[in-house]
Amino acid sequence: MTNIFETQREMRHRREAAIKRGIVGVLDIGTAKVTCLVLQFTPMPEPANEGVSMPNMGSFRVIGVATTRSRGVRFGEIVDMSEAESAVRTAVQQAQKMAKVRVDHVIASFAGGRPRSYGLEGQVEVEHGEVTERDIGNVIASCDVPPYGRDREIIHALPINFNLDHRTGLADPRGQIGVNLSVDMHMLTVNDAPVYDLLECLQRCDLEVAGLSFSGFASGVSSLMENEQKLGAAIVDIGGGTTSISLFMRNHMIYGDTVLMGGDHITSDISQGLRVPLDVAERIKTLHGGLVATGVDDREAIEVPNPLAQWESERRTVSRSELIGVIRPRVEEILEEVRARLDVSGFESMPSQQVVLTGGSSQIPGMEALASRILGRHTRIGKPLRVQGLPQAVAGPAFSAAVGLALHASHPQDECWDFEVPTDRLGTRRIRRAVRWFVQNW
Amino acid sequence: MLPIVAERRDMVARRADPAPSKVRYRLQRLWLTAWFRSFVRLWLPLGSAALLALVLARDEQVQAWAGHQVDTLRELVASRPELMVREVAIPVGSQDLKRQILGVIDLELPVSALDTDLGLMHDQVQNLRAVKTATVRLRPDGVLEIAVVERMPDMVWRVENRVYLLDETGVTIAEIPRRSTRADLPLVLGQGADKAVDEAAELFSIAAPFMDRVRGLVRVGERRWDVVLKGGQTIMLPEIDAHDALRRVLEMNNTQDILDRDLSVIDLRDPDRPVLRLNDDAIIELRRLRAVVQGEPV
Repeated sequence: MTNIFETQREMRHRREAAIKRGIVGVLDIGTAKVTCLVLQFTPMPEPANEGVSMPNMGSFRVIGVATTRSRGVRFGEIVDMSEAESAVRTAVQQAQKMAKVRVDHVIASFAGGRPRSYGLEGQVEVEHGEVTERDIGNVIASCDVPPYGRDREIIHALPINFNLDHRTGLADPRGQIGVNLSVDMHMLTVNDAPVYDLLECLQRCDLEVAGLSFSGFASGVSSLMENEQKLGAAIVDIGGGTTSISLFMRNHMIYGDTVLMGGDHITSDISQGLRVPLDVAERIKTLHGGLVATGVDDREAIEVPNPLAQWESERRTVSRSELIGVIRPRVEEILEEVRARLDVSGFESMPSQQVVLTGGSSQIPGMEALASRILGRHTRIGKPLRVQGLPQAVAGPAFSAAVGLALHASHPQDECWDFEVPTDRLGTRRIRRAVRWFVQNW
Repeated sequence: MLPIVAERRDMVARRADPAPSKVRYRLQRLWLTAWFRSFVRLWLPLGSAALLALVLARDEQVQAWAGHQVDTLRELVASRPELMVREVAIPVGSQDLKRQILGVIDLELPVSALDTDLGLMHDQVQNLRAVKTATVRLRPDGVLEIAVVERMPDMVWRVENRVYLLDETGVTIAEIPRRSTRADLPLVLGQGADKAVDEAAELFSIAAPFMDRVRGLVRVGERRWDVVLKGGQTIMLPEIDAHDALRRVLEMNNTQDILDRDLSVIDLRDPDRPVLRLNDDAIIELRRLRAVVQGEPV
């Protein structure tokens, strides 16, 4: 835990420094595309209604946007470092060119690494009657961390609920008086290899990582409406190679998971089913794709471009119902899998059964109807919040993770590493660090 | 037979990799760095220009060439007919003064206006003893106009066997060979007489009614005046209020014809106790008369 803990702390400091300096990059490395946004933070007075936990949307502005086809990424994980690196370079360079500033710090999101959620609980006695930051650090440190595996790392550890004696549902118990303080934490772990690959890739692009997020979390921040975040909702981000699921409740992510299927699988199904190259299949999916067949679709012929066709007679067409017949089973499979994961997560017991679909593949016509049949009645397609300076071209559902990262950067939620860990648990290491600092500087 | 493979290679055009190379990426990031940008766009050209200028300025050949260029250009401008001074005009002043002025400014006509120094000329003319004020002006029609106000001689001053002309402020205008050349002007003598010209002029104006008897004023000890009359009579005046004393003598003359008496000195240095010094004959006569009056033998 300590290793990633330190890294996350460092990232937190870098993010704060970058926001103070004014320029932060956002990098969403997906299976289908790499998106880079350049944010410019302007110091703005805090809005008057302090209590409302709304992203302070006036505080930043998107000044550079670039999207490029992703390369060397499969299932949200980097499989070819140099290819992924060049994709990131392309996106970053274009965005920098548009923004006319250099981006040094980026906040990245990724969907790979098989995330797994854990609920943690910790309990301590309050030291001096009044809850201080130190007590919060203590209670977070007292959580029982389950053995999540040696090759896994924590990317999110959010204290989602504090209980003070018999009172529950406290977001920030500081300053309150009580005896027993307990905390509920949500911890999300991922395989460490993809994380290190990602960090290495960004380091090769001369970028400093100022934050790392699970893409389902970022999508939820941008696509869920305020009341949905508060009352509870599931966000399903159907991306290229993976489908991220996360549950939100009381403004916190309480569960995160991924299904290793996405738009690329639909494309490969079309490619196999219609015997066309992958890029043609992608084009057909985007232009003509659908999920609900009607009588009209039988008569609508889609021309399949055939590079080998020499004569008029060799042209091939398929009807749209055929295409739908290829796409629909795969989408159903994805949604069934999502349903299964939601069932496991305890979504049933949540007060609100809202499901929000987002991501590039959620734009297939008929998705809402199909999803509501599988996932429940309260299903809608979510688009990310409008943020200042974002061009229309990147305001669609496919960019909800990137926009969510931007919002998250401007309005970060407290994670457990933001609190000071009690010194008795870190004592020896502190001294060792101090000694190392002396050795390095003299 | 159709060569399928070749055709396919033609049809599927190899697209260029859109990704920037690592070097290009780094260069772009460097270019977007603020300090580097300002360095390249501002400081580098400025610095290299300054360096170049410095190197050129230190080269003797370049210096000589630049000097020559400047001289040529100046020559070109200076030789324009619009800038030529063709004439020197001195509207007022005596012939002698005009000759002096021309001699002192020493101008070979025609000359370019750029080569004349009006300030220097003004100083030169002003420094002439005979000139009170001078205005040197270059008229647009190429005439150098020197307007002078001449100092007018007011007195003749003889000191140490030399004779000078003084104006009303005591400035020595010129030396003259002998006093008789300017017999029309009153004469002052003695060391320091030029510094008390005001007082002398006042005394002369008081003495105006019998100017024909006055030979001149003598400055004594650089502090007071003697009025010397024809026939060797001297009126010694006090240091202060000399004019009152002189008026008193004139009054005495009017009432008692004191100046016609056989006196050598009327001493008024102490105004409260005027002293008369008689000539030898007069003393003998006086004594004789006294004896007569008192009935004593001579």
